[in-house]
Amino acid sequence: MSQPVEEAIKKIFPELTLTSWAQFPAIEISRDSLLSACEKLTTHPDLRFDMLVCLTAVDRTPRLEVLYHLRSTTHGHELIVKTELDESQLEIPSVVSFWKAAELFELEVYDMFGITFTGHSDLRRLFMPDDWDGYPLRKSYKASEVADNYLKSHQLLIN
Amino acid sequence: MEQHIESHIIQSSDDEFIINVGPQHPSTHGVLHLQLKLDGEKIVDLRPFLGYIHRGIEKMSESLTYKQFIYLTSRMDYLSAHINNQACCLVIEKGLQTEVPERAKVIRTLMAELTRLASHQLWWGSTGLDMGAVSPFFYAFREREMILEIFEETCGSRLTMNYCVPGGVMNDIHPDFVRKVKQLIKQFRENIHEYDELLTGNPIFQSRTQGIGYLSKEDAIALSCSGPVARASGISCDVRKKNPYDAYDRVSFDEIIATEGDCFARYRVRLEEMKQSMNIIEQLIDNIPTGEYRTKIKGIIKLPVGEYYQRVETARGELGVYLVSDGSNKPYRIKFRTPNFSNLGALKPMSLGGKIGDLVAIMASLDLIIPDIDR
Repeated sequence: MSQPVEEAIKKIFPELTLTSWAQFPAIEISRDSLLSACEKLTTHPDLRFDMLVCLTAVDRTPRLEVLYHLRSTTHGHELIVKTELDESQLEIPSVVSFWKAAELFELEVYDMFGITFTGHSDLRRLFMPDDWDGYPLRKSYKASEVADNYLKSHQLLIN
Repeated sequence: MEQHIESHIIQSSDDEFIINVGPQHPSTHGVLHLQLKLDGEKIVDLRPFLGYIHRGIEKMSESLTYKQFIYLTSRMDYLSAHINNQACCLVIEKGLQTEVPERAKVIRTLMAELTRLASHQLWWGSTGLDMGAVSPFFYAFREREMILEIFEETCGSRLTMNYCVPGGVMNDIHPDFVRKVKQLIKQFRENIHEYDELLTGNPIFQSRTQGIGYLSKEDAIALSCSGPVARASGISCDVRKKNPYDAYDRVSFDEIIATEGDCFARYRVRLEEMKQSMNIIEQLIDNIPTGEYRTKIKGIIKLPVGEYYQRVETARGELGVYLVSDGSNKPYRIKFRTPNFSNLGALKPMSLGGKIGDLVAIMASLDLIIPDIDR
């Protein structure tokens, strides 16, 4: 929002292009450099992103975007970090060591999108049952078909 | 289901044992299932199990139009139903670049503050109930009933009002609205000292909440806490102050911050917030602008391709709505960053090392609404 954060990002990550997501500045980081970038984002005195406001994903088949909404409580600025994953390799390093809130957020994204967070100590289905097939928020998951199949397999469908 | 729980059971040694709290337990205020590892009475480990009331609101929203999905959000945090609706309307208006009439802005803000009052009153009553004090519940419902009657007159419904629509509010306020709100504020101001006499000053209540469930400022930031939970740990995070929406930029009120970080601090923050809500209502109630209560919006809403975001302060903290539009008449992806989901993470650092009896006080001070966690 404010000018200083955008300048700081340009200075600290000169190789990245600054875009925007809704009203926030945004940067795209590759999966391999995510952890080293998080290190800089949390510790650099001009950034100090100490709060992970939200962690979510968007299914843009065939690629999935993982979004990290960061905020600094000392400077008051905000940033969206975006990482793109290919549908065939849905793995991303866990950021629990930087923000404790990620522990729950990552479980939700794993449950809804099937993205595996390597390094998460307790990766499990959070909302869906353990033996559930498919990941509900993926675009390939058709809720009406799933419901029909469930009813058919349990012989609950009338006609 | 049994297998599901067994496979996740916390490993325990001989002198420790596992106890399940919930999903049907009165102190969890809903279907939250906690697994505790105990050493005697001391809590050594805690794991939440969720999904008992997961309805897939985010998935359902993807197959509903922009005007339809708003009604689902009333069922997330049902005690802040109006504020949830407000967030969705604001994000759609942002996408359409529509300016809402002044009258609608003020009515929305008034309703949001009345919602906050009603929610905090219910919380106050049930907090007493959780700790064995039954009578506060009836005192809390005395004023809450007046608020719900005001809602019913204007919106036709008491809890999930669905009063907010893109462009303004559904209907104009009831002719009796202003008189009744003034009467409510007058009565509540006269009665709020009873709240202090019944609970705040009660030695049993104080000994059960003071120094219990400590949450440090660092933990609250790292766990992304918001609302009264974060403010009781010394974080200034009121969205109404930091990113004012609707009519919050024209009212003056204090952001209540405490630094103790225990259950009693969270209790006091909410109690003071009720007084601030009354201040906001008093500033607005005499100055409701005349004019339209809603601008005309096309029957079929299509947001331009892009991303939209809006945050509001519900009774429990920061609700963020992330909306991705592909240009069609339905949202491509919608994400609700709900305050209860991140506040739930604070339960573990608060209760580890404490007694199992304290868990009830901690749950009461967190004020969790489970449908808001599961969505």
